[in-house]
Amino acid sequence: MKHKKIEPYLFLIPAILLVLFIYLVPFIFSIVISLTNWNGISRSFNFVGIKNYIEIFQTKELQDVLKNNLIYFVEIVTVQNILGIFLAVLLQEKFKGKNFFRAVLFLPTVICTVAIGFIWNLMLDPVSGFVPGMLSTLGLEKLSKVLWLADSKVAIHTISLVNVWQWVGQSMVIYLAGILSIDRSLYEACSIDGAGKGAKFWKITLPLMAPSLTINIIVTTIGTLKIYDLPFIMTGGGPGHATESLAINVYTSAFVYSRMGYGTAISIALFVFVLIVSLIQLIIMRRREDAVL
Amino acid sequence: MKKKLFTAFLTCAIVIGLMAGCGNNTTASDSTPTATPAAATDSGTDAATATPASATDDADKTPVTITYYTWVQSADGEYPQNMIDGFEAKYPWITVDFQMGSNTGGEYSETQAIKLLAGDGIDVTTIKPSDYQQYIDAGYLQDITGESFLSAYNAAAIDSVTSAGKVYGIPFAEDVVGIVYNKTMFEANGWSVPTNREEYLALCDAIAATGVTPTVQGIKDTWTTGQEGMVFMQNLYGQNPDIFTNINNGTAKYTDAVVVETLQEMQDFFASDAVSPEAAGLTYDQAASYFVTEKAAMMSHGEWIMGPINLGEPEFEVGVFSLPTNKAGQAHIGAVEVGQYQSIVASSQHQEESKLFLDYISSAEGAQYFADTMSNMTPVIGVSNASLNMWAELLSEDSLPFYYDQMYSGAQSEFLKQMQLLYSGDTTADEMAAALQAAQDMKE
Repeated sequence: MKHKKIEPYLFLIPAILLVLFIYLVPFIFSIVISLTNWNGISRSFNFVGIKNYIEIFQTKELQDVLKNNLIYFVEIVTVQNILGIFLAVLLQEKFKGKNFFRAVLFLPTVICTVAIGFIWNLMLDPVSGFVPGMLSTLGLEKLSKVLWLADSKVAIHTISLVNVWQWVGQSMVIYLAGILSIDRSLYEACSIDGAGKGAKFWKITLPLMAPSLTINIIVTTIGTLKIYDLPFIMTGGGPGHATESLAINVYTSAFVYSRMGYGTAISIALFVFVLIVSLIQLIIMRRREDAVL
Repeated sequence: MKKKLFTAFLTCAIVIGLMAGCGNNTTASDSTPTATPAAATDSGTDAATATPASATDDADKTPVTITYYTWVQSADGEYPQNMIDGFEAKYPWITVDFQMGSNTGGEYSETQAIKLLAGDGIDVTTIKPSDYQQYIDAGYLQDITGESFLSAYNAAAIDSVTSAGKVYGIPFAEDVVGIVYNKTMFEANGWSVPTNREEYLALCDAIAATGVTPTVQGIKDTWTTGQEGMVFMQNLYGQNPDIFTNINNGTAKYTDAVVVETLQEMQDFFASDAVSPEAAGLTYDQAASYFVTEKAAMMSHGEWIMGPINLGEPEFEVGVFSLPTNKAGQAHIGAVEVGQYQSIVASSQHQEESKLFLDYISSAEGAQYFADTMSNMTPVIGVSNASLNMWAELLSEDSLPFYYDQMYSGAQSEFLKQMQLLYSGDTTADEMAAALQAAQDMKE
């Protein structure tokens, strides 16, 4: 009979208790709050069962906000990953200044999102902003008149772009690590067989960087589905609700409408939604990894 | 199989970790304040008349730090630091820990509510009129009825902070909304100050014909949209004084014809040349700059706008006239309210020192810092700011408190957002009314 050592697991107990205390206790408390009508201010509340959860599916405003989240999700996950792969492939080549470009592209990732929001707000300012001014100088008068953050049809795409600008460096670094770990002899063998750069990318690079693709897509998916800071800083969710995300709606419901129970119910529903999407992605991406590796 | 289970568990753990920020970790049960009962009401000292403590007395005092949480700060940060410096010079054993709360997007109230609930150590805090009663109901504010420093304020202002016969805060700022305008430009073009809505709309047409934007507002900052709607909505309130009370108790709706008619008037106004489409992307400060650089002739705002306008050093004379809320034949109703209350938190461990602080800012010396540096008016008797005399004249007109402060917080938030859409033509009066009523229906 194989003897199982228990000692290593004992050493994990403090860390597990810490994680439980930091994450699981507030999470369970949130579930309890989501079943109440607590307004977030008073010291008393009543349990209302799943009333808050039923209301989530009956509120039209929430459906509109969910649509915004899906726009963020599709735009950011797609553009950030395609651009990240493109930049990683470019910057794995040997050329002078390669490290400089890697650092510059990664730089926005380490800047505080609040600062980035303010900087882009100033740059997109319709009266004295750099972007409208530059477009006007280039003769693109029509584009220079666009209200990048105030037009309800444009603002959400602007925020997606700024988000991509901020985080594409992180995706690039992960892809770069994936690419650099590929055995160089495979490329040499491919060259001997007469394959061009395109063939090398599709037949070697892309399949063998599958683990990087998995982690990048899952991280960007989770990030975009719970996006909060950038739209909050840049537009406050406006104009109207045009850029409002589910996370902003959680905040608004809990603190502006003084409906902490309902707001917390939305956050729990958001958690379940993100969990399901992430698990589905993980299963699909892992199957793909198993197939190509 | 084990590997898959472990992977699934790891994914759950990562997602829970990333989502933790969306949860709420404030426990209602942990928040019971350890209230210190107020001392006898005659224990307060009237800073305006009290003899300053001697150096020997001061040396005997145990150093105390009180925390002051507010959103009120001048653009250059001079206020409230100058007032705090004055207080600390007078009471050297007391140090004020000044904590600034952001008021962008209205999050001040939300942060304040959390701090009060959590017993975060605030001693004195600035409160918005719309939050005052619910904080009283929750037991967060100290009863200061009968304190001697309350006699520094005019009777009407004390009425505004009286709830069920008790006072829980001092009425610190007196706000009035009007139309600030470029007086030099008006005189050069022979434009007259309008006395009613029709004249105001005709004036906007005349100004637009010269290529100048008639009126500007920082529409991108949500709170400012409430000012843009003042001419129209304050008239709705003035002509129907019970409208918001009725909406709040469910006997009227935002979709009622009288409300929709007003929203339609605003929709038509925004669709005209009276406003600048560019303003949809402007913030409060940028809009003030727009006015100072003479791109626009007028702004609908309270006297607080004089702060950023004066910082811009306008090269023209600035004037202000009454809100042209009234249509021809209607009585004029202005917009005046006590805009800030200063309260002692019931759970404060430094009740006496906090009273000294309220006492000081109620004194002529303390209130004058506010009037001068913040370009605000104050209901402290005998304190004024000469540069705001033109605004002070508006105080004497028949008026009501600001219309938006009569709305349920959820409906108010929705109103300000819908105003952005109405401004840019992305919604209609009917759609806006429906959205407002939907927000109102969320009230529990």
